[in-house]
Amino acid sequence: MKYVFLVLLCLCVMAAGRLSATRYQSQMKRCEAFLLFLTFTKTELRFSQCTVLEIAQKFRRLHPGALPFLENPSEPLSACVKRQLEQERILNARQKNCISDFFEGFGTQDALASEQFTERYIALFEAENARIRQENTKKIKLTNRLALLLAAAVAIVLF
Amino acid sequence: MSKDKSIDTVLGVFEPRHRELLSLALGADDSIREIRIRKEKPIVLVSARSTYFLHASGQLSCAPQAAVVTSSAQVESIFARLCHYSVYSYQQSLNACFLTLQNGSRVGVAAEAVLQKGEVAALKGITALNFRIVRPVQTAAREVLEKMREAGLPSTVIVGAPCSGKTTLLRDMCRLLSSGYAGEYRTCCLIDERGELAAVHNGVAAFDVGINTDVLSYFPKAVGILNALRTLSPDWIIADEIGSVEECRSIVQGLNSGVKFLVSLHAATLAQARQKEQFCLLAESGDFGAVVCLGSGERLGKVTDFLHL
Repeated sequence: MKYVFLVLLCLCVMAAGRLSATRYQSQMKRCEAFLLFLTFTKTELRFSQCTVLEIAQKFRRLHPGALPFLENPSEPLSACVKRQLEQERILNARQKNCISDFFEGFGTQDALASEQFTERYIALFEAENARIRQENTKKIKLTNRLALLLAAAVAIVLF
Repeated sequence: MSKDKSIDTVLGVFEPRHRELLSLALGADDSIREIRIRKEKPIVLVSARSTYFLHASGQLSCAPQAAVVTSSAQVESIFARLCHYSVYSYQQSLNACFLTLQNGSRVGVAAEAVLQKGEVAALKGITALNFRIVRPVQTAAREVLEKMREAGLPSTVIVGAPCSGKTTLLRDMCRLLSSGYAGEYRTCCLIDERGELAAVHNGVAAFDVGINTDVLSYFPKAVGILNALRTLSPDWIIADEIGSVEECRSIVQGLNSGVKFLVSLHAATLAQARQKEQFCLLAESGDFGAVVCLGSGERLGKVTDFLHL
């Protein structure tokens, strides 16, 4: 019984760690989708120079459901995205502000400046993705170690 | 396109309060053809008869006192809506100080130029917007084509002052030439540099330019003419507002290829047109057979003269 209890305790702590990691994975998936949108935007800027709404509509057709805050785009897109981001649960406040800032600033300058603006956000979200991946790995390792430590501690106490 | 739809398209970029007042004002005078807005200045409406200011009651006033003034923020907001919040998308036309709405209405833009290597690279500090209202006008297209037909349908120049109806006449003539005039469906190529002739949006022309017409939108005329000659095998090339010698040279090149041209030129009278180098180049080519002169003001859109060259 004691051993079963120990094993269950380990498993519970590890499961808690994995659940928390799922949140990070969802965040990562959402950020990757936004990164895809940014690179798509950069390409569209270079070759078609269609409006920001048209870019959002094209992206939605190619990747339905990838970015929920772009599901029903309307003009002005910055206000529309800001509204939709309020219902977004996966991204944290900092990420939402970043996305909101992108749509506020995009479209106000000429093509070259807009491309440079988009590249800055691509770099930002690449860094963000790397950070989330790192956090995720750290958290899983931490919870695994915690589980083992806890099991060891309980074992010492019980035995 | 109906006048109401055209007006709705223009008024759609204004905020609700201004939209309502402008709607009243436009209803009061059928001949209003321009709405001019400037930062911290009264809204001006220009008709064939006079220049008015938009009064706070929605009436037309001859004096600027108690006129509705547009703030800097309002002008910026209207500009953002005109560009669909994507300034880069309209960069080319903005560098030439204009935008074209979906219905083909032209909006003139006054701003500061940002120069790079002596050329306009961008605009900043928008100060004013001039909305031209597109109105359906009965043109003399058929009458002009009949006269041209008597002379063997030669290449023709249309001469007229600004707002004399050159663009409308060109469009109508293109439609007729392309859609079976005198029993023939001629292949027409429309060089729509400012997007006003056909107003193509998402590949569909807002105006009827004919069943057998290809439209090259936003191409500089000289480039568009050469591209059309090389790839579209046109019978006729139609272009508006021939302005440069380079454009005339590409027209002469086309004439040498056996293509006919229907073009327009800014000049209030034929005498003024003859002073222009572009007109002389076209006349000297030997292939332009006719000149059509359009009236303005009270004689807006009316053919005042038809001459054989």
